[in-house]
Amino acid sequence: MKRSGIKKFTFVDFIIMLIITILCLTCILPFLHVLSKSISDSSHVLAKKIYFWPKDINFEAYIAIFKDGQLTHSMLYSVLVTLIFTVLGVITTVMAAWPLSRKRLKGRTVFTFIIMFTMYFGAGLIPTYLLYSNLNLLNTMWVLILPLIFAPYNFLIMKTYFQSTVPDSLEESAYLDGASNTQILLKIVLPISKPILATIALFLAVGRWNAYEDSKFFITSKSLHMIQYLLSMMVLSVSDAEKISISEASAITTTPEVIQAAAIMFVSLPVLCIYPFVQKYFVKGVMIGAIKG
Amino acid sequence: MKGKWLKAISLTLVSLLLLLTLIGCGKGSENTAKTNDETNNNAQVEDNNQAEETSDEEAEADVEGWQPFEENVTITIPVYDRGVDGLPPVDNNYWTDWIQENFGDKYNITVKYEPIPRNDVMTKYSLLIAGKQTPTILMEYDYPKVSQWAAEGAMTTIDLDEFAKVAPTYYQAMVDNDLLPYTQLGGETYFVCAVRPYAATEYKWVAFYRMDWLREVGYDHVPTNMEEEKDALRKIIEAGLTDIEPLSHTLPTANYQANAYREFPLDEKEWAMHVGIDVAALPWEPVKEAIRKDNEYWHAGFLTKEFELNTPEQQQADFVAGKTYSYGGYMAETVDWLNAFYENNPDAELAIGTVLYDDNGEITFDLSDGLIPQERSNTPYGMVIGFSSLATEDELKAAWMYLEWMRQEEVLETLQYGIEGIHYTEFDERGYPIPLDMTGKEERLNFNDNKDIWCAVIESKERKTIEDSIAAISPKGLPQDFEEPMIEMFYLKQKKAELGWIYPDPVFSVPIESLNEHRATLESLFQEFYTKLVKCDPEEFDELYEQLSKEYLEAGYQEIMDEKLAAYEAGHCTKLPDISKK
Repeated sequence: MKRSGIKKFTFVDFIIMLIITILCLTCILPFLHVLSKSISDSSHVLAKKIYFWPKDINFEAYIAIFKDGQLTHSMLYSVLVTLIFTVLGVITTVMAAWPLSRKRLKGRTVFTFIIMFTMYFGAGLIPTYLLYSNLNLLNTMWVLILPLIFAPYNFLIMKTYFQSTVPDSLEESAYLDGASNTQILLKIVLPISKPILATIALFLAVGRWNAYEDSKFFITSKSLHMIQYLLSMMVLSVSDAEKISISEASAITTTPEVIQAAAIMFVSLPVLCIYPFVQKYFVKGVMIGAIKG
Repeated sequence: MKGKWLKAISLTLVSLLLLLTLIGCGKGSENTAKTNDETNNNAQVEDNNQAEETSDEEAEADVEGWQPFEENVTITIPVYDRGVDGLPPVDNNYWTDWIQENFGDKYNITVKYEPIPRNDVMTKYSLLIAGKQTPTILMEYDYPKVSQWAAEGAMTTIDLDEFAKVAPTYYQAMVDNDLLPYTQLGGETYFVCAVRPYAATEYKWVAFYRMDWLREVGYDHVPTNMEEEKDALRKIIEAGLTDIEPLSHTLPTANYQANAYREFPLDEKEWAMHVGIDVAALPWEPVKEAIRKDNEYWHAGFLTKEFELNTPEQQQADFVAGKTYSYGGYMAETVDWLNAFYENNPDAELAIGTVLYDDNGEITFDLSDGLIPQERSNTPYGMVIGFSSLATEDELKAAWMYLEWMRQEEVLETLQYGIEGIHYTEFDERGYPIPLDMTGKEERLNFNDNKDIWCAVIESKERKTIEDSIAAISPKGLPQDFEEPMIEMFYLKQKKAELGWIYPDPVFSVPIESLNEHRATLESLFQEFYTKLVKCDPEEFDELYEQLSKEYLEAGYQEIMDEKLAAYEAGHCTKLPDISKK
């Protein structure tokens, strides 16, 4: 039987597959490199002899991380912060996006404009610090949660989704059946908006998980530091070592490269575990918000 | 219609933004004025109380005579957070508790520590200063940074006589180490300084050379002049001892010294204008000659071909892998890259330089290439310390007491070595404590033997003799022992220092504004020009240098030179030691 044109494997398909393979490798190879370093002997790592295959395999770096306990503590703490952050973030985004997506809310253009305005203008670090200081948020877990739970970008995606997916007629019919505003939101809108909720939750969780600057400036207590901040201190201190060394005119001890690699692997674990299960929403939600908007 | 509304709203918001900005600025100046007033008031109160206090303080001239404050005083001390894994929080650990117990509780002082991220010191201080949470003491190694804080009004002026009454030991250490010239800024006294032992004769940084390679090409010593070095490198390449260029090179930073090419003795004016690590002095003749040498080395194939893409990590990796001739670093009991070097090159032999002696057994130098082996002395001070302009008189006094208490020998020793019975139980043959393994224990010393705490008084942990100090930091457990060569190299440096060949950079007691303005631009410009000059045809070198120097001057270096010269002529600059001066 002759294969139909659409199933034919052409040269162009080959090129496309080649490009996709190269793109995939650009993601996988660095990861493999770090993994190999984390389980190799330090002398090979220092001589930059490790590429994608470990030499003299050992797990001392991982043992050191678990023995220390600081990273494991921070990991649990970071998971907790991320969870609270994500839940509160989704709630606030829904609370803003739903009403502002409805035409019957008077002044919604102004409110939307005010929210969007903050996307383009930021106050800068020092005023932000002063604000948090006055709110007594500094050096508390909440400074990592409250300020960032509402993001205009997430709001925009969700609002667009509601506008395009939940027609006014659906809301009106529910209203005629005696449903209150809260009931409409909880029993009708949210159940049909799972993709966008998952997307926003993922955006929030990944954003929170990867951010570390706020930890650096707004937290002083080591037990309240996010794990990404600890990791950044380990990795960045290496690149700053020379500058600092000139300043101090003495040796700067940096975290051994093997431990750094092991820490990077350790920190990436939660995202690696969760991502495969929610990545379909990641694309879906953005597509819905973007195309139909 | 809708468009009109949008325009109106936009205009209103923009006006609001402008209005708020203006209000903000207004309030800012009000605040500044208020702060200045407060500072002045504090200063006045200080003056008024000085007379009353003086007699009391005279009576309390040392730690033993101090009386506790009637009301609890809180002082905040900054401490670097270096993010070193496996150590307790820098602001709350066994040693911060120990200080509270042994100093704070005794004098009714609460000592708080403020963690400062080591790789972002300036931002953290800016936040604290803006939030009116300035620590009682502000300290940094770099003079321009502390000068900036003082110029911004974050620091109060101090009376060194008053300081000397509260902290006589600390003050005396400053006098003994000639640190008083560094306490001033713009004619006012702002700072006190921690001492840096062996500033001119730094012995911890050691350069290593592949002695086994040198032996293979017919040398029994590390080359002592340029001709020998070029000859040895050429022979190393010819013998195929490495498959890359033998000298791993990277792009220079603003810290491009060209020490050996300076005319000696130096012209003090030139020294003031050009010497320093903040900006490279491209238009200065010694720098030209140093780059010409790099040009020659690059064309001869001694330096990394694509050095502008090379990194310090790669330099280390190349040496560890046994591909390059030389590499240097600071020494400690364990140096990971040295361990890795011997693991990767088990038959290699390293040397750390050649010391020549004359017939009388005195150290001498090979000056046959016409170059005087000059070096930059480390800054004579360690931490430069100022005091918050928001601190009350009692807080200021408590901070001074903190410094004085920590300067006491037994306190310093405890902070550096720990407590007998907890951190050590035995002593080595030289009589120094042998530290116990405290890994994972609450009582363990913080990073680098609590250095980030005691750096407020002294910069390094030194033993009674230089031999003892070197014995402590010479790397152990290697196939070769470097203790004796390191001691020899120390005496070589000492000889250089005696001859005036090691001298510090100038320090200005007024902020050099143009330096702050042009520093970043000039650094990237220098890197670009340096690369062009090193890679250009040697015959075109002079012409290209003239052209690029002109551009460099116009890009801001001329302005920096002029400002530095003006500051020097106005007496706002430290002096070059007489022995090094023309």
